[in-house]
Amino acid sequence: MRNAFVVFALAALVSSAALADSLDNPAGMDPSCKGHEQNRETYLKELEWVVNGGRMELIDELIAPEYRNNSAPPGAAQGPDAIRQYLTILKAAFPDRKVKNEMLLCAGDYVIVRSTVTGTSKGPYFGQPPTGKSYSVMGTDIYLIKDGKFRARWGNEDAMGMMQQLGYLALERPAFAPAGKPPDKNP
Amino acid sequence: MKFALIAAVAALSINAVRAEIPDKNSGPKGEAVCVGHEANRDLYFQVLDVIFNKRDLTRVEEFFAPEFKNHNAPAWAAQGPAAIRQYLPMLAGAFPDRAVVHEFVLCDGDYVIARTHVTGTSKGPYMGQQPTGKTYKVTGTDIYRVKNGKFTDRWGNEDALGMMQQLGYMPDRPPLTSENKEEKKEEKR
Repeated sequence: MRNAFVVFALAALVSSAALADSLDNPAGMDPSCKGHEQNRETYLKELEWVVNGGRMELIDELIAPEYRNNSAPPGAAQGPDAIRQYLTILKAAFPDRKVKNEMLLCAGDYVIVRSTVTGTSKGPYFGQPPTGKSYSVMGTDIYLIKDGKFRARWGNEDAMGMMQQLGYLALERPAFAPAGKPPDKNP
Repeated sequence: MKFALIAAVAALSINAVRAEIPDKNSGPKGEAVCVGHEANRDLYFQVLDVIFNKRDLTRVEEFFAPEFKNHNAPAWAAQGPAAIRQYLPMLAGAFPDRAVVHEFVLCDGDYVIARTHVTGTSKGPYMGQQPTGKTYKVTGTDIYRVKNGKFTDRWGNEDALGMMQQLGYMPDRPPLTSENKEEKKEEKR
């Protein structure tokens, strides 16, 4: 019994150390979110365990029944089903898909994040056959989090850059772009 | 007496003006989330009005620091205030009625976070594509960093893919299939 507790306590320590590490900010931001530590940890927990770790069984614990993705395409599920549907589709298309936190801000009940999303096309995606190509794009998201649960999302990801890098879309560069440099890469 | 009446009418009309912009202070549900950061928030509102919507390019230096960096620009794009001078005329050429509409704003330290939607009608060439006359409306999510009263950084994304689809430059994304929905149901069991 006591051993089990020690193991549990150690695991908790290790996981909070991992959470703190993932806060290291490549953009050199000041550590933020004073007074909003619970929201920050809820976000990082969902990112590491559900989005990157694929632990779908934690979705109902972290996503409130009223969760609304304000940026979902028409016909998409809402509530915890939104996350289940979205991750299932993405995992089939990009089995190695990862989301890396680059910046994390807090304002009231809102957590604002910048992320890098990477993946390799191994399965069909929105009707397109896989190309075997990899992509790396940025996303900017705002989440409403309260009492350890996600309530809403407003966000955008560079979906056009993703489609270009995967070879699904080719666009010309505008006239002022110097020749010889690809127009479709995020720096 | 007359003076008091004028003052009362003036106060009322100020309130009336304020009432037209009820979301100016606030997050998506009307929360006051920029208390203590009003200067940063107001800088953002000025940029939205003067630069993004009225496109007064003579005032770019008032709001954008020489070291301004757009972290989402493609490699060939200009940086500093020149980034704005390059980007806005290009868009105005393609979409003369382009407007950036405020939805809500959040603040944290030196950062202002803005959610907007952008509308426009295709009247000129865009990224090598011919105008289609179609109108688009997409959302944008942006983070700005403010230092000494000027923007020094921007990180953000706009639904550029949705824009290209609505303008008719790209096929619509197919709806989520019943196959996807069945997979989802199985997982729930």
